Amino acid sequence: MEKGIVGLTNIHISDYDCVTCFGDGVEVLWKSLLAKECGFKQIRRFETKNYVNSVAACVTDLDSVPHGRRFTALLEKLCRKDVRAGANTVLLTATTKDNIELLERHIKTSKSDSCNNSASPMVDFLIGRLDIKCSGYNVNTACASASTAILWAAEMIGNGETDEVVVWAADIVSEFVFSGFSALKVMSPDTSRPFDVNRDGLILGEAAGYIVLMSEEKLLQENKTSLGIIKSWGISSDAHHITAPDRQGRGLHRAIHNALEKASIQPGSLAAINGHGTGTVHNDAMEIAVFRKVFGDEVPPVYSVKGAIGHSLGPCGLIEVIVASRSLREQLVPPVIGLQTPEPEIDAYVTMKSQRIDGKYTLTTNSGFGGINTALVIEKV
Amino acid sequence: MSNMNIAVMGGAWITASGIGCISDGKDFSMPQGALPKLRRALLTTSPDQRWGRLDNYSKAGLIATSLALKDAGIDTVDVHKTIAIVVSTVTGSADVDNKYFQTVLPQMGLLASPNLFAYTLPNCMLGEVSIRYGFTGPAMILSQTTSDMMNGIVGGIKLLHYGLCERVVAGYCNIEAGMDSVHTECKPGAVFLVMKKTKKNSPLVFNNSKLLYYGSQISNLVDLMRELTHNRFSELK
Repeated sequence: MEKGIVGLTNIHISDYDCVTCFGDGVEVLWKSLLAKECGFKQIRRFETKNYVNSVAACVTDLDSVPHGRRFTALLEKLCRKDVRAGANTVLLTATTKDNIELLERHIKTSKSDSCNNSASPMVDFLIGRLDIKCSGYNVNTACASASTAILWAAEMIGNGETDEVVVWAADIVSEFVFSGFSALKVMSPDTSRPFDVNRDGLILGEAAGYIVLMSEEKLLQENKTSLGIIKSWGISSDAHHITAPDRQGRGLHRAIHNALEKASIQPGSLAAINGHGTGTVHNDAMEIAVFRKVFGDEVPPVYSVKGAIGHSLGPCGLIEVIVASRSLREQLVPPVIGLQTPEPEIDAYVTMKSQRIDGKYTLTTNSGFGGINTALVIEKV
Repeated sequence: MSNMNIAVMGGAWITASGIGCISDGKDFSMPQGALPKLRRALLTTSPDQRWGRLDNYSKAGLIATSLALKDAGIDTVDVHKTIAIVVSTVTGSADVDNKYFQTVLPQMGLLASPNLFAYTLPNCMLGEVSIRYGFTGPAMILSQTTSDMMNGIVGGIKLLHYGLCERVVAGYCNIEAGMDSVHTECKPGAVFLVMKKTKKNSPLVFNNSKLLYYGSQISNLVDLMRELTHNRFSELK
């Protein structure tokens, strides 16, 4: 395949922030991960007695927010920070179900067929709130939405379309989504155990985050500190099943292969892998198979944060890029919360405790319903 | 971004005025109104196990893709493997979202339908297309936040430019159900093009985020389709 012309400029992460079940900010997230904390809590915002479980990694403050306003309240927590947006800043968002509580409320309370909503509440909210001049749009590739938006943003900058893109991502724990994952029988009855032989499903979470990407020229002009470089990326479809991964992981394998090839780095150059690691039987088995296929017996340390902060769906890829960047800077990989008995195929590489690493590249991977897979290589600055 | 010549290999549409493709000689229009009935026969004459479980949004996307590929002369079996698909939508899966949540309410989630839930992500339509035609390129849904209905077309052209695929199926897909619930001037319909980059001079050129047809800027999907159908013999292949 013909290669893109990206490579003329480095694409820097100049800022990021997030809200997770551990609270506001990257610092509390990072410290909680290292402290082996698990953010799963009893759900209070809707009745769960008929579902597989009753826990999720909820942002506690949102429980008291009225139904229908939680999504914007989550975004608002991030907007309180002075998030800058230049005249040419492009906005990309990544959410799977946006403010789905509006639909829930409409169906529960209205007999009319019309709820007269914005077509893209998250985009509209952020354009207004951040005073962004360019129009924005949402990228939806299910659980790979944020990583797709980030690689799309990197292409835009790399190809000289703009010098700054801000990617926002968010999803909330809603009855709509919770009931669906319960019905699909992919939720664990108790907890998430990524890469564990006894894993039996995921735990949902909610999160929001943003990441500002800049060209190197812009970064220098604005005298910003780089938090990392989005070095390369790959994206590929399984063409296999809409809700189950290809057991052989051919889509993820292609995505990783393309990312490594684009970066011209050998698999052995990676210091760590932040895997999708949902804790479902088939996702983790597929990832393990692919990691062994790509890296052989030299798999770098593999971790997943979903045993601690749950699976936040749309934003998970963005939160994981933030964690991966922090991990590179600290040269430290966080433990996999929930892991007790690692899968034999990967037991030498997954980490039940924090682990020192030594290297300048890390890989993050995501896979989503619809059969889409992404791989991002991040470089330490 | 330098000039990029784009070859439109084929295209098809389902709108309230009917079903057509670029090479069949019909004029394109996109009025408000109900879309034609989406029958399985438009996709295949054989029994199809997946058809019955699809929501209308997925059916529209799948049929429009199938007709566009046929219009492009791409065989449904020997399809090129590095095809990407990018589609913009206003309401996406809103119709099935509504139907799914209606299954959640009666017994507090006990009867929630996993089959309906699977289609509450608008990109699952792309998964259906990818499974049927073996597409292994990027597959993404972009929200259509402007009235031009062009996000998918422009997104697809950008994927070609970025080198993330060799060919792309790109377009717009929205069924009429649910459109009255949002503020939009977009119309119901599924309008898809099959495109590739070409080194030859082409009437369709992309430059600095502008799409030009014989030098005139194209500002919306209806204008683009009218140009393509009026000039079908100079454009295709």
